[in-house]
Amino acid sequence: MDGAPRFFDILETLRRHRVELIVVGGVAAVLEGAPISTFDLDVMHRRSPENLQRLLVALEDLEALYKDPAGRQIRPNLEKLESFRLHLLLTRFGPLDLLTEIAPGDGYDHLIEQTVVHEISGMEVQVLELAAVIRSKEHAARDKDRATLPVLRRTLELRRSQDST
Amino acid sequence: MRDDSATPSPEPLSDPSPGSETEAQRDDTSGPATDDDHLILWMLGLTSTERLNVAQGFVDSVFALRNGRRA
Repeated sequence: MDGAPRFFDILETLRRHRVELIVVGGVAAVLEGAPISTFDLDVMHRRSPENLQRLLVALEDLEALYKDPAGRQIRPNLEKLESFRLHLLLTRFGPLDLLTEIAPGDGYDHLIEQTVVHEISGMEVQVLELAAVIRSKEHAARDKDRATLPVLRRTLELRRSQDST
Repeated sequence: MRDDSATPSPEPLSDPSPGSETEAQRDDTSGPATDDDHLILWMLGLTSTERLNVAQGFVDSVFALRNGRRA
């Protein structure tokens, strides 16, 4: 579980269980064309009762455990999925961060309007569009989020330039 | 990782002769070129699957080096 994250395998498992999700963060930026490195898969999920149930089944398939410095094996359950805002998990395909919002008020229902569909090996995935990824990192407090902003902004500029020609 | 497409290696852009501009530069109104433009344009030319492969490949290389194996 401490190996390299397998981005596709995690996404494929979630999608196979019909989890409604949005890829955000570094992987979203990559899918949108930004040449950045990322070691985390950040996913936002819809918090409807039905989707939380599907998510729980997917997490069981992924053998997901909460990251715990004390080494305890804590599995997600419905109560935790309903109450926690952030789930830092380790799965059999590597780390997975589940978010319920990326800023106050910026949850799934708001951000779904700012997504595009990417097809990855025949699988359709909702991905936060690059402009929204940039906004989320501008509001982030972490240096590592802000460090990628120049490349993200330039990617967006060049993409818009390409789209306008 | 499942993928049915090989990820092409980045191809260098041709260097314009001194004093001339490429067509892209003449049409680009989004600011001066940066050192990252070559890499960004290469990435933008890939499919979503290929882009994820690139990210996965980098992660795999780092973990291989960290674990003491040749990438």
